[in-house]
Amino acid sequence: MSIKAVHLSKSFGEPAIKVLHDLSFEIQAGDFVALTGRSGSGKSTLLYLLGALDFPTSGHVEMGGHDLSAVSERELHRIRNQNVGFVFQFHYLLPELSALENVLTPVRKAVDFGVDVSSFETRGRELLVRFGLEGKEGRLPRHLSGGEQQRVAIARALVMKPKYLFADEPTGALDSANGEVVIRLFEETNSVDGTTVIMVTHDTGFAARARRQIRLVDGRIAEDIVNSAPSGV
Amino acid sequence: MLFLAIRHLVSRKKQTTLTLLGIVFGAAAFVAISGFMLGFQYFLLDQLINNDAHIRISAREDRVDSVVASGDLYGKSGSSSVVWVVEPSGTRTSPKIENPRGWDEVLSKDPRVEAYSPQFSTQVLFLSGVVSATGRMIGSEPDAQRKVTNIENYIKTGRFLDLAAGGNRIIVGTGLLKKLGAGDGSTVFVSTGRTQTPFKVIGTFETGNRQLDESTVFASLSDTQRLSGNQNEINNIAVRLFDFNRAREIARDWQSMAVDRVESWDEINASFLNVFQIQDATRYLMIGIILLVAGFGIYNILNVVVSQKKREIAILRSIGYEQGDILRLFFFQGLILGIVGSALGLVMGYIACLGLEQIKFGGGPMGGGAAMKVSFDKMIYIRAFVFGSMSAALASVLPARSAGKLTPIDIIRSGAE
Repeated sequence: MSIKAVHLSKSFGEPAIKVLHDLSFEIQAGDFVALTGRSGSGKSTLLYLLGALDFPTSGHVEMGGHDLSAVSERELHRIRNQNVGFVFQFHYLLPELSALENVLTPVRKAVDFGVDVSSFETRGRELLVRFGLEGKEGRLPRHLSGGEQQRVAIARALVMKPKYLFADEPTGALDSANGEVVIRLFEETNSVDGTTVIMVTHDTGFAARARRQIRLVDGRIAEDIVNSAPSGV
Repeated sequence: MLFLAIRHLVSRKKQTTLTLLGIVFGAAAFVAISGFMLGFQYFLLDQLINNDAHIRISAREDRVDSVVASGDLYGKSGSSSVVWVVEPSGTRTSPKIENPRGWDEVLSKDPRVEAYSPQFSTQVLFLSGVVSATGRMIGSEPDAQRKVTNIENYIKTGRFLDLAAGGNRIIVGTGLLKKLGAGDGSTVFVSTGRTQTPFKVIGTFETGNRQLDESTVFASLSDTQRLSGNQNEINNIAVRLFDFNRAREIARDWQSMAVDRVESWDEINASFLNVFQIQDATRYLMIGIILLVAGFGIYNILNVVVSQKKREIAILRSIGYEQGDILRLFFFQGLILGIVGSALGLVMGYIACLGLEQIKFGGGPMGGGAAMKVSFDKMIYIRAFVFGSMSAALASVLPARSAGKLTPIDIIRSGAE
């Protein structure tokens, strides 16, 4: 279930400004990849294209062998719901819902796709316990710390047991201790569940803990290296 | 999405309450204004339908001009050589129904007719001592008359059926009796212009319609015919139908085969009914404005909420929620506000109507000291509920659509906070 970028380009605006230039590469299932580069290098844009949130100007993305530009809209939503988990720099939790209810938001939608969700509430609770949030399931996001909020967001991204976890600077709004906790959770998810993790980060230390690093410069791959001894994996 | 829509509303207590109040007041105003206006209309309609004939057949009024007058006076051949110094003009009121027996046959056999009452009514002068008052004497067969109208309900003293025996006896409106300074049992003189005939007051009636009570007396048909010198003639037939809604159609049927004038109750009271239509238009306009304002409130608030909730919309879209889901999330909020607000508005409107019903007012066509007539017709409540809910739902469509169109990446890229 690899992800393949095939001649991927992306432009914005009129006149068009090209942000990504003809990128082709493959990420193997179960890999842990860090996308790095300076601000404006196109790493977040690439992440959203790989994660089926955005569409390329040219080229295409293959997820598990399926060309994302050729699937129906309904199928695209199903992929976002069941195959992909997203973690953003900000937690984007729904403030009206408790921690557990936030975690279970994708599960509510999965019912529409005919998924048997009977076991997912238990999984949601287990994830919160695993992420050190036991006893805080009923709390509203505003009653949680920044680190706790981000852990709830990660639990939400993982509740449907997605094949791919995409993270856009997940530690960017956290202090180093909480950042460390988040990266550990990613490492654990990758190693225990076999989830493919693709993470955009500015932090060289966290990037070094990925199995593979793709560094972008001005929308082109400047470096694509496999970390010989990723510190956390 | 209903679950999330409810959570959204509950989390914005102040906004939700204020928006809700707009709908509540809109629906309550609909119920109260409609209840009051329709109550009054129904009361008047009841008076029009049940206190008078559904169809009235009366002697025809013909226009008189030089051609008609020449023909009548000099025959067809001579009329062409007539030169008028003063052109004749005006109307000629035929004093009688042309073929009462024919009408009797038609009405007695028509299955749509519940009852009918031949009448002779005439303008008279009432005299009691030195006091005089003009008015109208209605001569009828009491047993037939009571089947056609509700007159028996308004009898204050005496018995309406006692008129049947004849003998120059009358039942007088309380207002007229008061005007004449006469009392029950006294004798009143009635004049048609030539002679004065004594009539004994054997009872009184009070309909609440001041105009009627101050000018009308009932007598037997034969007494009235004798008084006016028109023996065996009638100038009116009051008809009651089983279904008053068919009055106009039946009146047209009969008019097509008769020379007499045949009018249904709604034609006779067309001016009243026009006023009702104007009232209805005013009512809908007022309520429309109230609901429009409430709808705009919802529209504005939901627009603000959509722009405040962009981050949440982005995350929902990124976890598989579709355009339709986001549309429903905000549409449901409008709908819930509409349904709950309308339901509360119905309760508030109902209570307001109960309060209105307690208000007494004096004078007017309904007499003094009557309670306000308020309608509790279930259609008012159904309409208020539907209009309230629909206005709220419609007001939420545009914000909901704009929310649905947001794509996750656009929101994320715009850095919505």
